[in-house]
Amino acid sequence: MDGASHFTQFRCITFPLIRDTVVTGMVFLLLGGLKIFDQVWVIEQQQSRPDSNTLATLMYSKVFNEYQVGYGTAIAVFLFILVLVFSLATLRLYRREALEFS
Amino acid sequence: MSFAGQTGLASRVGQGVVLSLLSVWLLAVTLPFVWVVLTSARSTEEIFRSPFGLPENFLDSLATNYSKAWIKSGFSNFFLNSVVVVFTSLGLLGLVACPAAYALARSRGRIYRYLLVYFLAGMMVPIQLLLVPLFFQYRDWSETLTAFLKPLFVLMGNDHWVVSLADSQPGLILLYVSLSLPFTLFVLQSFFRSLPTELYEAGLMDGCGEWRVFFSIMLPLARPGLITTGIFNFIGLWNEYFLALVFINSDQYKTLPLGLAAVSIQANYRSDFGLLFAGLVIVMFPTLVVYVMLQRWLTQGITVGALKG
Repeated sequence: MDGASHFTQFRCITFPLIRDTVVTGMVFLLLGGLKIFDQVWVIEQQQSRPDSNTLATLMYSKVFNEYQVGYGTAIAVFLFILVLVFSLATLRLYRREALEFS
Repeated sequence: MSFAGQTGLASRVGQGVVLSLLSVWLLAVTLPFVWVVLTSARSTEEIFRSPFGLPENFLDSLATNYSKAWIKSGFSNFFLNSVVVVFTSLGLLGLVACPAAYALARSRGRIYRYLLVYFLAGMMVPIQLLLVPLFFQYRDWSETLTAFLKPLFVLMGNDHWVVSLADSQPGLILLYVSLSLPFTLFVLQSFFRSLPTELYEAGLMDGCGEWRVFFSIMLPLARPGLITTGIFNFIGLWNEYFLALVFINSDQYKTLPLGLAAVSIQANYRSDFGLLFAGLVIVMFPTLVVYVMLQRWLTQGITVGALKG
């Protein structure tokens, strides 16, 4: 109506309205990426390799291959803190946005 | 798609760009599937000669690959294990999660709100964190259970029997149910919440008890939600690798992902890739069938849950 092209329409109206959903989706994907294990582990022939370790594979190999249980648990706690920080940040974002719109 | 307010060239071009982007996406998603299925009908020698060719003698290679995978590599056993573990887990999950979600959605009061937050917090905890404590807990529980059931075993004349939660199917099922619970509760309770309270009141007026209202009114209405969570959990549990890797050691209890991983490592040594691709199709097939069959419910379920959650 106001002469906005389709792209402008999307950029200025639709996207701001769905931004919450998009951000939540991105955070979920990010958390999934942090916790990734299966694919790396299978591609690396079920071995831990320094140049392809993720937190999860490092943790698994420390606990179950080298029997350094404390070391492995520490890695897991670190992973948990990372996940927690991102989740709480998302929650806060949610709260702020909700206030803005209502 | 209607391009109102725009006519002629600009909208044509826009539509063209959108269509071509979508086609690229479609190809990127479907081609790997098609490739895997086609390659599972080729012999290993063919695969090495040209990885992306078409099958030469389709039926022959198909029969060899699948029979080798199903019988010799023990995929029949893995398949059976997966079916048993996943479906028992889903059944138990439904039994526990439906009433719990209903209660959490309907009840007013501080305790229930905290309970809900407590359950949802479970979604944030990565399984890696739970792994080591669980491992030791399972060992301790197994000992306690064995001590507890000892008189029974002696009575049955099997006093050497030992209860073991680690490396057993019941143990794995227990883990799957409890770890799927937060997500399932989250979706289901938002579903129950979206159902109007008037229905509940009407049910009470007509002389139903709480349970009758739940089973005859609420549960049928929440069916899209049940199916949605069912599919998500099915796909998640069917492909679950990490927990199975940690808690299952013996070949006889291995689930499909474990079996597939073992075969893929053997395939690298013995270079039998036809077998590997057949195994891949065997693992993929059930999720694909379930997804295609229940897809209609899935999209419907997600939108309802998301909009009113």
